[in-house]
Amino acid sequence: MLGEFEQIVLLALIRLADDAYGMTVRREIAERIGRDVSIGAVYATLDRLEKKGLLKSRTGDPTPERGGRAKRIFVITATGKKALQGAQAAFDRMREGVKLG
Amino acid sequence: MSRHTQKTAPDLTPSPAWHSAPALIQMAVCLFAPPDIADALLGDLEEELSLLPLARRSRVAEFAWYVRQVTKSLVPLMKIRIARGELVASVALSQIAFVLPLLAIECLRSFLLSNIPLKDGAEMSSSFISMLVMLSAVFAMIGAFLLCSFRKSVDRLALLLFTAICLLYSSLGLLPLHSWKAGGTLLIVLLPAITAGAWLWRKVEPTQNLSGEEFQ
Repeated sequence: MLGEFEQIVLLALIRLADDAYGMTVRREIAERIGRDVSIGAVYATLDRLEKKGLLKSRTGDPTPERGGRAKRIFVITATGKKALQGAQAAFDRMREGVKLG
Repeated sequence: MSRHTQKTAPDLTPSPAWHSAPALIQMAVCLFAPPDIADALLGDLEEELSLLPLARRSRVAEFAWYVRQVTKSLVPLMKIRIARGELVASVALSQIAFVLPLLAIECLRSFLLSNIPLKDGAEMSSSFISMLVMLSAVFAMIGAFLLCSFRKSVDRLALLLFTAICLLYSSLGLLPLHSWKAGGTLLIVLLPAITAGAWLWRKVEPTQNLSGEEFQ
């Protein structure tokens, strides 16, 4: 089962497609839901999801604006998409017929 | 003519000037983050910093932003290391790497004291203490070398833990030098010795660096 933040991170990866790395994921989350998460928390979640096989990473090219450091680009796997669909479906089923307030 | 207060979009042009991310803070990231994450994370911070709106840019604001981001990240980064089991392994290896040289020092010291007749109080003389400090340095160098050879992914955090363990043993009186003065001297001597040991290992194993990554 995926946690809330794990789902948010996976959704950010899908939105960002080929441009998903630590900074862009953090900014996407901040812009979309207004949550100012630390870059460390983003990497901790990405690392955990990679270990679960829900995403994979590769090293990009170093760029001058990054001080010559390479990006670590993340891509969601088919298993990741399936897990996300499962979590969203479970949430939808639980929400069905529930009136909040 | 009416005056309009026009809202302008934030300037997202990268700042070419800011290239002096605080070295100490970067070092903290390298210590806490696993080696494969530290480099990408520092690059991300540098890139995001260059994208901050110009209105918010000043050296103090940039420094504060950078420090805040790193401070908030240290605990999650440490959690990655714990989850991967790296930290436990590093502590265990640090213990092994120090206990072996420590035992060697103790054996040598006992041997010296039992075989060489010393005058009363000679054990506390400056020359005898200097000799022990030098021996500690030599063994610490060997310990750091061993620590690096045990495991390819041993990194700076392990070496830092190794130094901390050296000092802990010293303060507990497990080393022959247990006064604060001697402890301070020991620290001054141990740090270069440990660095030398790690450097020596890199010379012997030229295909690996301290992060366990292959040299380019």
